[in-house]
Amino acid sequence: MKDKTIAFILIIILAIVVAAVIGATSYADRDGYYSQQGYGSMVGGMGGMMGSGMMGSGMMGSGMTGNAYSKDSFSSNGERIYYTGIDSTGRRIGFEGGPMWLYMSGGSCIDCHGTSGKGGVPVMMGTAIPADLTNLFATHSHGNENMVMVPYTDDLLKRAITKGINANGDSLDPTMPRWYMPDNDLNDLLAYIKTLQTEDHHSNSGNDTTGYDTTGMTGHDMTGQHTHSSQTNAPNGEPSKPFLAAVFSVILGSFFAVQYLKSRM
Amino acid sequence: MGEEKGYPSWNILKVGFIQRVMTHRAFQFALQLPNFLVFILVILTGLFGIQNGGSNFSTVLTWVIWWAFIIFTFLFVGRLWCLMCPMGAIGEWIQRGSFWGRKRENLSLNIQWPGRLRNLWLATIFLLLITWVDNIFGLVKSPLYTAYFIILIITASIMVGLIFERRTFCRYLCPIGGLIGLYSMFASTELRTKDKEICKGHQGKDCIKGNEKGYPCPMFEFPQTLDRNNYCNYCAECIKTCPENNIAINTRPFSIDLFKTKKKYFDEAALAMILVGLTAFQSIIMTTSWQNWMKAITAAAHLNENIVFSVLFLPMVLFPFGLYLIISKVSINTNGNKDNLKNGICLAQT
Repeated sequence: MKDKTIAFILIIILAIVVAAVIGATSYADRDGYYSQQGYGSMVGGMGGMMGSGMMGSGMMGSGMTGNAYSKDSFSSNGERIYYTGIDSTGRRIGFEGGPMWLYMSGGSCIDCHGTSGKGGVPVMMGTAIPADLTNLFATHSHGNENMVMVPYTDDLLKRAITKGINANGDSLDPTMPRWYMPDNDLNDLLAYIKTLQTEDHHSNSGNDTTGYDTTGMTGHDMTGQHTHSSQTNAPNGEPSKPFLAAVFSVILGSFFAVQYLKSRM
Repeated sequence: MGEEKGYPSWNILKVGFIQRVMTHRAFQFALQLPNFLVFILVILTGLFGIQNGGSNFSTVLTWVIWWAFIIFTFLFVGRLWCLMCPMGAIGEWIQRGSFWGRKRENLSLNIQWPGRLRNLWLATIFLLLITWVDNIFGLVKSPLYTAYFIILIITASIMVGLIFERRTFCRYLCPIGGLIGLYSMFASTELRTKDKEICKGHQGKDCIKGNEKGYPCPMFEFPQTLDRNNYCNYCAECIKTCPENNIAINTRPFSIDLFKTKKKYFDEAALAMILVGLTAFQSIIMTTSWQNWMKAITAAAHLNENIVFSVLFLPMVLFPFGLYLIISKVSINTNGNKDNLKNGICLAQT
């Protein structure tokens, strides 16, 4: 009897915890904080639990990074690098600096800047807030002090990625790894980052300034950045319903099987 | 007391309040419940929360706070975590059909764990497997995978509890159980008998058989011969069941077990040396040189990086163990002392 009472209290407490989590997330989501693509949304996750999950393509398909973004095919080499840190030849992009977990379990741009490139969410073991990559080619603010940044050019952005020096010539926080990759990979990545721009700013000086139609974007639907945005609106990192159902069934099935066996013994 | 053991110690159960708390049947449940609720929250936020390892409650709490914090608990108070571990608790609650009450019948088949598997080899394999999975799939930085991982551990704990007796999962299968046990030998607390002669003269052996006041030791320990911390999780069942009130929880100098224990096992020595390899390996892969080597090897061999990593993983992690094995064999051949094979535990911890 006592145990039943405790079980009842536990269930009520659990229900309150679940309600609190969902409520808190809904509140945060209302403010748009979690709505950044690439960071997922608890509410979105609650809405549709039919993700590919651990046993599906999320884990087995995309290989090394095991990211939770449920994306295993890429339209361009640049997109692949942005998502996985691995180029189309299967080579992992090298780096220096960055948070320690990057060395332990790999990672890529998406881990800090999100699928939308908006950044803004602190990263584990990081000492700076990841920058917003969606407005690089216009005068923009950057960092905690809202420092005014001059617009990036292709060369300046390449320098930021490889040498960690921002458009104003200042050193970026060590949280941003210094990536080294061949020029063709760097060009492809640059082209992909351009598709993340929310305003129609093209590279405004210096070299090619070809905007979205740069090298490596073949095969990518280049009707504009909104295509990409709508692609990534799909709920990311959702739990696998079959996995959870299987676990639940195995536990319940074993319990009743054991009780049946015990009754026969 | 304590002089006869050769080191100073003081029994904290002399404090009446602590004795009363620990002999209360709900003592363990009271510690398990808060952790259980937090773990439910960890699972929920891992499954449904923001999918960013640096910001999600589940990854930050599990891998940044919990994992770092419990290392220190092992060093100071041994397996105190196991006393309140919600993963083991869920298996035990379902097995006993009770949260804290003493029931004569339970819901398990109570099959004995096979004799050949009563060691740490399976737990060691699981530990290596998890490390490999983490390196390949990024377990630590993924809230979703962290939640899956905890769900799988809980499922295993429940399944094993339903089939096998007592805490078979915690004793023989928990991936970090062996590791915790080794670290706990260093702790400055211990659960021991006050007077072994009293135990020898007592025929009932309630501590391993159980009585109306408590369950038999869930970790399959026999307090009468207990001389090290490896598997005791301070659940206090033996304190409750001992009719002679002969159990003490002592404070003591650090690392006594490493030098005083008469029990030495090869599986534990092997795990200690594998942990040395694992730690070294995890440090090496954080270096830039490792990245360069991997790039060079994958390019030269035309192989996927995962495959190269997997091929290198076991030999590198097992290298110190292999070296130790060779040195021990040479030493045995030289002086015939077979204990050399089991002394790695002290060597590694020192």
